[in-house]
Amino acid sequence: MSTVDALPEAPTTSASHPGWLGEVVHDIVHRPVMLVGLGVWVAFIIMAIGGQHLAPYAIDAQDIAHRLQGPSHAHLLGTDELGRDLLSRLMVGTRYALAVAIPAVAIALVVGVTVGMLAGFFGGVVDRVVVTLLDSVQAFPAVILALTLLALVGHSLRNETLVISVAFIPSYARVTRALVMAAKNNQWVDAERSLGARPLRIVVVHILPNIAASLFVLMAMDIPSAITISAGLDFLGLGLQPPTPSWGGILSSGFYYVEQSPWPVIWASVFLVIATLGFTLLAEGLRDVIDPRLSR
Amino acid sequence: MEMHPAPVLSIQNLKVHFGSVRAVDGIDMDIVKGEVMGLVGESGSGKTTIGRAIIGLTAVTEGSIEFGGRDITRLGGHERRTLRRRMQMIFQDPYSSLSPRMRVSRLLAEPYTIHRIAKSDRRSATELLETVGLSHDLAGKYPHELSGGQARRVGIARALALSPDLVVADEPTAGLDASASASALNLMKSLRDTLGLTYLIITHNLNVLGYVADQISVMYLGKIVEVGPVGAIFDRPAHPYSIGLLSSIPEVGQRGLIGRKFVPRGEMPSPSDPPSGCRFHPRCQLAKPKCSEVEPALEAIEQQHVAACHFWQEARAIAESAREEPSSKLATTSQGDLQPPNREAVP
Amino acid sequence: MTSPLLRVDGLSVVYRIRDRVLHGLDDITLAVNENEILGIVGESGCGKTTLSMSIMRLLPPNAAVTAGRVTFKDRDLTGLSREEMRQLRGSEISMVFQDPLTSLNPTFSIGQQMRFLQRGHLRESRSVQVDRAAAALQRVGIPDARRRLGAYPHEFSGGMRQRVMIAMAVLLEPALVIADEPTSALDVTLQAEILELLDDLRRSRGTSILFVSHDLGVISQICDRVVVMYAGRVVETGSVQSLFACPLHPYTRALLGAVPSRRHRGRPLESIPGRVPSLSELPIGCKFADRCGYVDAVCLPREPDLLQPTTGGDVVRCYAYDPSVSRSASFAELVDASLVC
Repeated sequence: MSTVDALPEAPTTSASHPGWLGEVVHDIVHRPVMLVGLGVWVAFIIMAIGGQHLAPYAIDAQDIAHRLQGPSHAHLLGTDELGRDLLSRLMVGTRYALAVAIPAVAIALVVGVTVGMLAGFFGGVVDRVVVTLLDSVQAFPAVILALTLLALVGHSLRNETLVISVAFIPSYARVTRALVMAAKNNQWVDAERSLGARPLRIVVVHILPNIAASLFVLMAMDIPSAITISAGLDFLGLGLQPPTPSWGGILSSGFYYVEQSPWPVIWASVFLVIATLGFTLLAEGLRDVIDPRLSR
Repeated sequence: MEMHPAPVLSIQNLKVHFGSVRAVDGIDMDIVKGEVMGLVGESGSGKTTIGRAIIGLTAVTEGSIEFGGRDITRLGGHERRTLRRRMQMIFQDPYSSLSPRMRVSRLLAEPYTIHRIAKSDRRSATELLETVGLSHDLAGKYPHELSGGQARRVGIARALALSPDLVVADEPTAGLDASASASALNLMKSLRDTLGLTYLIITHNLNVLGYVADQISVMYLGKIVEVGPVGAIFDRPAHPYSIGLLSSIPEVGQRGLIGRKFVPRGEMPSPSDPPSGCRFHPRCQLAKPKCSEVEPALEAIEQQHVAACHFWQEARAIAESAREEPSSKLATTSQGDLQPPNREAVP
Repeated sequence: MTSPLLRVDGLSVVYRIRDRVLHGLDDITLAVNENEILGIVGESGCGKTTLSMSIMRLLPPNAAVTAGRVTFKDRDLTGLSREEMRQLRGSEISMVFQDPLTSLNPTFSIGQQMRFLQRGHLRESRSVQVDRAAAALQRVGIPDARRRLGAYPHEFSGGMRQRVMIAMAVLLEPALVIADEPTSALDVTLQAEILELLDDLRRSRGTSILFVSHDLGVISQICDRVVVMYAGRVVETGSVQSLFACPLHPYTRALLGAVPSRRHRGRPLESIPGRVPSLSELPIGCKFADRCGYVDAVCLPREPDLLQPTTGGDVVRCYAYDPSVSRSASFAELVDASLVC
């Protein structure tokens, strides 16, 4: 019943309004911090795809005579305890870092969103069961959970990926559930129901696109976390095993020999830090650009 | 006694309870084909809940809703869905009933997509837009790019896509400027004439119903307290609440038809704890002991006009006499219109 | 003839948004006399809220007064310091807003809020202030007033809350109350009671009211004179009697024809083509020209001034009433219709 004319505020755009993609791109280009993050992403993806082909040395080429040396002309970053080129191993290690982190987050997204949608849309018993399950999983700190599960199912790339994704599923499920519950209250959901649309259609065709933006931001922020967790697991020897050149693995053996040469530890850490920082910068930039629109 | 055509919609003893909140507590309504039935009530009366129950957005606790010869509350999924295609709703907010990520053309195709109607049986977006007086340019726009009036019309166009028999309009003029609201009402009226639609208009604004409705049901705290043709309700209201509503309406250029003293005192109580006997009795100036003990049933006042009040004759008589002495601070003509001023042009 | 209680002369207000300048109000001139209820009517976006905020000097930081003056009791409000303005608010000019739930502080009881209000302006003993507060609540029809002082806003129903707001607005006996859509969120029966209450206040205390609303029916019930606004301008001013019986401006005519009522049954309602222009795209000449049924070529290049075509004191912003402009057929039609009525 109210039609008060509000005082004009700064005009804003609505996240749900299509055409926002173009504006997002424009905003990205104007934020140097995000461009840095984007650059890191591009560089790492190239490294991951190129893998061995881009690396100067074979990752298993040993050169015991020149083991544990610092940076030199021959080996830009130095060598590890078996004389293998650090740069090559770390570059290929990118592949493993991303091969665990990205699928882990992707699986968490798919499973979490599905579960969250069911809980949010149907409510009632379904919701209660789902929430209880989520609570149980979230009660464990992510790393402890991952450790425990890995100890149970054994070490492998696939298992490490699955275990990390389990740790992330609850956050996607909860966010989706909350967004779906909020979206359900919109009149256009009522309108679709009154037209005879089935719940599945409403959720997939109508609700999902409206919450995709939020989920996208979440994903971008989780990837650096996943990288860190997987590095931790590899470091503890619970994930990928040597001679696989994972960053965590390189760090781990590097620690063992740190008094003789600090370089493996240093460079592995540098790669980890750049990856995490770069991806986080991009994700936070995305969130800054997308989220103000969401709060309209 | 004249024969009534069979009603398009027939509601019997409908109850919708949300836990202890008895939003709708036993109402009957018949809507005849081609008529505009107005359902008026204030917030908390339950009128929106009735609309939602009819369309199927809210579960029915008790009672029946007959439409197309069947009781839709008893039907299962597929049958109910098929029958429900023939009744459509126009929602209160013109924008929020349109999915924000869909262009108008897709929004108008939704009804067909959902029910998998063959392409040859569909009406194009252009055609539907034309029916509601909008240009085909709007087909590519998103809801937030439309004006309030345009959004409202798109909602109407979408409701018409499946050629419904009954259209339920919930506050059709809400959220619209005076002129957008006027053109929405004009449109609804002309569609009724050209397409033979039947309407249930749910609103708190009695003036809208005075303009467009044929029959009016007055609702108070979950119950219908008076039903009658629009002329009877406006000129010869019988229930004290209806009289109160009429005397509360500010109408441009006319003082309340009956006068200020019938405005009901206090506020509507909560539907979870309705007063005993007649639900209106705590606010009624005519209340007598019987009113708090026995709930009045709908009684016939005159042809097709019923009211639920033990003392409706008295209410009516008082209203009549009050009408004779308009309490207005502005000079009025004998019809109650404002006296135009004497005007002379400035030389 | 005493000078008016409140005068607004040529007031113009702009909003600065990013790099653009929007004209919220342009050349607003009106007056509220003592013991009078002046209505400001217009659709959303016409600037009526901006106007009431300008008078109270409560505009947001990105707004600025670019021209004109607001004079209250012969004092120029635009020249007052912030402290002087603060002293005026609540005690000489007060406001009643549309939504009492968001206008009252939910964390303090009504009594506390009324005490804060008094303490901000008067130095008195607590019991005097409590008495005054209780009397005010009683005056607006809240039963058991003294006990209810301890209640919180959410404990009142919507209609009662609005009464509380009115009680607070008149607590210090201001000369002018600005009511911005005070009944728009209320049911019609509650609205009628609140309107009656406001009318009573005017009668018994001589409080003047500036009543802002989009609802023509409400305006015609309670106001003595009316100002019609469109796109940030005054387009017509007149007594309620003359304006509603015989509107001069095409917009006012169209607005009145658009309101549904039983009397209009059987005829299509008047619907104005087009939309209200957005503040960033105002046309150069008359702002209503692109929607006006009586438009003429003279309307487009330059905006008409406010004119007084009749002896009644009504003013209108329309070339049709300008004796220096040649009468076209449509102008003649409009003028004849309005003057003869």
